[in-house]
Amino acid sequence: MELISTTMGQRQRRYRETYRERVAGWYNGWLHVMIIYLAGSSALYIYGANTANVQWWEWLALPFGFISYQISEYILHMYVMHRPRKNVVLRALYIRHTLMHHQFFTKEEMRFADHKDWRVTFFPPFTMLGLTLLSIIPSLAAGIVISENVGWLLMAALTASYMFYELIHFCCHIDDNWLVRNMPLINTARRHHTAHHDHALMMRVNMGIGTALPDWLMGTSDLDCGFWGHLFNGYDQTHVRNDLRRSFVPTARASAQARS
Amino acid sequence: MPTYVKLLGSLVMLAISGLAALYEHSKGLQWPTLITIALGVFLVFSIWVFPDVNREK
Amino acid sequence: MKTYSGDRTIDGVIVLVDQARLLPDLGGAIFSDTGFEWGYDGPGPRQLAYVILVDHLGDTNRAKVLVPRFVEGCIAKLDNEWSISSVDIEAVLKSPERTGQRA
Repeated sequence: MELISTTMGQRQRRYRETYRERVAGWYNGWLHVMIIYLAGSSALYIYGANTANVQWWEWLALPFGFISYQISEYILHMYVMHRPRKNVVLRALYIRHTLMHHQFFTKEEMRFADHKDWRVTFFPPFTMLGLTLLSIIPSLAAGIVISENVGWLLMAALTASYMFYELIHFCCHIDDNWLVRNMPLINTARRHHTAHHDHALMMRVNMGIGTALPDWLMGTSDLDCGFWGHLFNGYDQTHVRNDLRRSFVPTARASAQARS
Repeated sequence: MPTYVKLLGSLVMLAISGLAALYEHSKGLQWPTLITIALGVFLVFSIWVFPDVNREK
Repeated sequence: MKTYSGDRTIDGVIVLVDQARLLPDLGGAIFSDTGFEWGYDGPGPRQLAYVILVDHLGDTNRAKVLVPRFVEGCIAKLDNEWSISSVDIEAVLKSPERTGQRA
């Protein structure tokens, strides 16, 4: 199944056909999403059940965890998912992201056709397992050094941030509608992420997905505006930079363009 | 994901969820104990059944 | 005149010179041992620049010296699928050096 009304080119269309043929065995997108959110919700219940008499300052673990996740997501996206590495796990992330996700979805066509395409939209269940294991180290440290509640709340923040990421990212790849067009943060993420899927920019620009703030901090945003602009820009194109490197133009085409 | 990585992840996950369940049991948290064990098993199960994308070598 | 082309496929990155595979270790894997990449400045793009220049110039030493200019002028700007010729390479190498742009 493929989208009927689309501006995707033949290369993207061929790639999407090939990808769908290569998915091994059965796949059901609804089941995939259920796994992520059932596991995530269960994990949040466990973490919450282990807290007791939470003090006001211990709640600060939640925003701290959320911000830590955004920064980690940026670093992983920029330095692992868009860069081939020798380590087999890191390389797998690059293959699934740059060689699959970014070929399936481009600036010309960001939408999936149906739930079977969620295979290349959502992270596989291994991500929830890996995130949980990786979160244990800092959370255990926080639990020992600061307080047990802070440790559990940090685990909760990291897991909830991942679920937030999946929701935002999903909203970046669905059809346009009044809700995603007008909902703050989501509309900003959609424009930001679509620009990221531009072939000419995808390896360097707009690496934040949950929020554009890491790109604002690191100078890798395609927008020329401040903190609040990066949060609430929406679909506005007014502040898009015009000094970003564009695609290489072969000599023959450059000459023809100069003549015309 | 290579099989040995999934295997390692599975073993670590089961070990961690087992330890966490023991800890919760010691605190008298009955339902969290059961859900911790169930979650560990569920995650391990899901990474093995999830279909891969075939690539040519 | 030769034509170099590249594509990011589901089976991996492929770079061809006149329809024959261009291997990442031509002239030695001196910038990267993880293969080719493009669209930014880094080990993979530098290795790609180096190998193309080795093939184009037939001189590994000269190729090594020209890598930064070729990455800045061409490799870092390539799209998912691209095609460049010997003429394009010469044009980039002959163009005046510029200071790096942001992103």
